[in-house]
Amino acid sequence: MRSRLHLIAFLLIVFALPLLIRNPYGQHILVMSGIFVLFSVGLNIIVGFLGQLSLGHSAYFGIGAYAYAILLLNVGIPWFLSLCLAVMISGLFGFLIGYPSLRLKGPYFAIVSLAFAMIIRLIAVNWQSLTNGPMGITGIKPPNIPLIGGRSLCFDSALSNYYLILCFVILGIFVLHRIRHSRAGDTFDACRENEELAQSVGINTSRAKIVALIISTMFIGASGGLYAQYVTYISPEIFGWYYIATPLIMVIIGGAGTIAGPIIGAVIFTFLPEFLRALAEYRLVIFGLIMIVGVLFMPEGMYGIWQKISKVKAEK
Amino acid sequence: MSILRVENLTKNFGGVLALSDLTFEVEPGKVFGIIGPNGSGKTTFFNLTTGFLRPDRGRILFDGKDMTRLPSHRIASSGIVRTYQSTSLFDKLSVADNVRIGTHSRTCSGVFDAIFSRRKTRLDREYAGKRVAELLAFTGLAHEEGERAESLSYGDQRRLEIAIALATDPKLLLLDEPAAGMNQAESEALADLVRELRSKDITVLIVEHNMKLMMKLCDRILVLDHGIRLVEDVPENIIKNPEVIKVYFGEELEFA
Repeated sequence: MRSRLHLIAFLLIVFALPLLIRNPYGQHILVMSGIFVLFSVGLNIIVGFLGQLSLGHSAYFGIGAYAYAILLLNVGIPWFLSLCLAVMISGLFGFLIGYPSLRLKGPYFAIVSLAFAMIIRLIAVNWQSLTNGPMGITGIKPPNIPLIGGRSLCFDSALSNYYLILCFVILGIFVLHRIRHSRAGDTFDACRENEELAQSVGINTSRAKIVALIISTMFIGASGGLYAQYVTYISPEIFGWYYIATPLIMVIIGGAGTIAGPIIGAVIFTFLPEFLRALAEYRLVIFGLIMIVGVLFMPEGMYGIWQKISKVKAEK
Repeated sequence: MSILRVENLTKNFGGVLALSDLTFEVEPGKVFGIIGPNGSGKTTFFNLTTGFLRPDRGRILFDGKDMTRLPSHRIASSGIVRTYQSTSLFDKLSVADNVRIGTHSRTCSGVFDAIFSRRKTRLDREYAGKRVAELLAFTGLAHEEGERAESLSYGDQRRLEIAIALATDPKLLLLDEPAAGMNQAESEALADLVRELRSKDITVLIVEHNMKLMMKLCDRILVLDHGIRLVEDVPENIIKNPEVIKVYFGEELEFA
């Protein structure tokens, strides 16, 4: 009951946030942190639940973004349907890549996934007729929801996008919460902890891992599609290192394998670089140091530390 | 009819014959022991039976069905489950979670049920919860339900392994050196556990070096030597068999 009250209070704060942060730049950062929350929560399914390092998730982010933009502009499909299809296309690629590579153990999956991200980036750069090459795709129309009386709701501001993305984030976390506490969620734990034993008790571990990867890539694809519709411009840069490293840091330092961890990590690591702007050129150095300290002293992430503290408190 | 029928089972590891033309049968509801010096092919046999290795020749029939080419998880869900020589658990998970994962093949809700069907998920959880409680009580681990598996004592870890295996509702349970490293009291408790399994009509196949334990527990014993079947008989005859004494007890007389 108390945790439910906490959740409601937390949601109220989240809904009120953009009304408290009035300046457009702050609201922009809020929207970006929402996109990264969805990205990290999805990535956490592979990295945290399955315990499998990934280095190629920017591919699914990019695929989600490009699929959304191309379906919307070139094919002319309505935005919501485009988004749904973009999510499914990401999941399909997750399946195609995971099927051969998840049988590999240890770092090999990470290497294959990285290679895949590089290939997809090259395709985005070179398949000019589809992706417009290095120039990227511009003028992605903001979504419109028609209302009664001829008026419509257009998501062209940071504020409106915040609430749109928040809906997807809440939906995503709800779905993930359900999966985590189900029989399917158990199979992910089993694969992570002891794959051989999992097989000996009748778990089809190849299947469990593929399922996890598909769900994960669907989340990441959704965040990519939402990113494309928010910034209205995408280029092959979204396949790059920034979108590989940043979400990974958010998941690991936030707390891999928990639901709250990646959310906390995503919000903090979207805001932190902005707060550090005052330090000018030292900004990224300090950012890097914070990451190193985080990994060294909080192997279970920030959420793990918080859980330990509250456990100690409860025992007193 | 026999529950397990092994026919001409042969396995080579790069020229080293781990098992050679092994043939035997196990009656249902019995405790069947396999003994033999180190390297005689006992663990290889377990790996072949549970689908972690493929035989070069021969087949394994379980309840009349050929299991030889099935993947491990299918073999497990059809009722053959093993434990490992070195303790194998889901270390970082709680004792209850460990056993619940064991119920996997007896429940059926999938990812879509998890998202859309509260009812199916709840039914599975209820079934799993009931089995976990039963099995923890049966193996005497109920008081450690919330502990992490890795924090249990050695004896309790080995009991937890059996609890996980039992959660799959096996018809045939393969125990690979379950008493290794156990003290007297712990192996006594293990023996009681195995006897109770037999009373529940679970067939037990057990590989073990502790001869005292094997003599007390087993209905029949198969002796392997360098992958070859030496003899199969009731325990009383095994210790008297001159061939067995020569290859096995000759070097380890203290067990006899």
